[in-house]
Amino acid sequence: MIDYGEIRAMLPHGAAMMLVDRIEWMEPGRALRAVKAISGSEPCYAHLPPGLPRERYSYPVSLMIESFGQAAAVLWHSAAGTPAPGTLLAFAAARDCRFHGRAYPGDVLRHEVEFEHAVSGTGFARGQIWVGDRRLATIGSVIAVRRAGLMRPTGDVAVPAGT
Amino acid sequence: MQMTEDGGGLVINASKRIDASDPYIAAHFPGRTIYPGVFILETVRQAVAAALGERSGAYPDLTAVRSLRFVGAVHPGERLVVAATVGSPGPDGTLDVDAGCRRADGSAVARVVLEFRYPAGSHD
Repeated sequence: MIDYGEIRAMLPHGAAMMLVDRIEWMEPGRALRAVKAISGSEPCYAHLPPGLPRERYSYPVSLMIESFGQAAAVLWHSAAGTPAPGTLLAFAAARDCRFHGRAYPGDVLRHEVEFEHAVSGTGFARGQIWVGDRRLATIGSVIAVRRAGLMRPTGDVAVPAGT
Repeated sequence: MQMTEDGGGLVINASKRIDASDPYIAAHFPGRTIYPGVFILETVRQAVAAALGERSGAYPDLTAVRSLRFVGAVHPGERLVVAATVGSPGPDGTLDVDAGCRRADGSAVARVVLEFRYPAGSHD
């Protein structure tokens, strides 16, 4: 198991953007199972008024993808090593992601991630997102690139973040 | 946000100023902020949902990300400009959306191809 503190040390995200709570099982460089508990206190719910229909409080698909991607980053780091200072994994692309169900505050997302391969600094992962025995998503492919020089001080001129 | 109809479907033009005070942005990454790629996807989703509107109290769900590709970055204080085309509904009600995202200076940021569908039971 990899606990929250170790995950925080592997990824550059601040607490509000840290969307993996625990790695429950991992075969380094090949596959892992990660969990993320959804809470109504997260920033994505801050602007929603009380009393809306249930569906309006569904966890954003965009954050589900980010959470899955962070789990995939941990898996890549487990084989290739945590990037050198000033280098990070940038989310470059995704393909064939299908969303069959929704998650709500109180649910625990479970990411089943498989690392496919890495070619010259570009890594590919795929998998599924579950809550209990409900499959919420099938992730055909998330693609990240190892990139140096992205971590510049705020306010700098933009640099490419993709391929 | 603006909407226009053309022969091929609905065209949505929307833009969003990236707000440095957003708590997520400050955490991505601390001291080195960049608008998260998945938030570009979320910006497109919100523009499409707002443009298509509610049916029986429900907005259309994002049901698939067929492809998504980031080619540039957006930073706090900059503006993200979205141009999205919504095709005619498929036989199962699926709506195809193809969106290009740029910075205000015209440089490309992302291209996303998505599917949306209203939840079962929602009608005009």
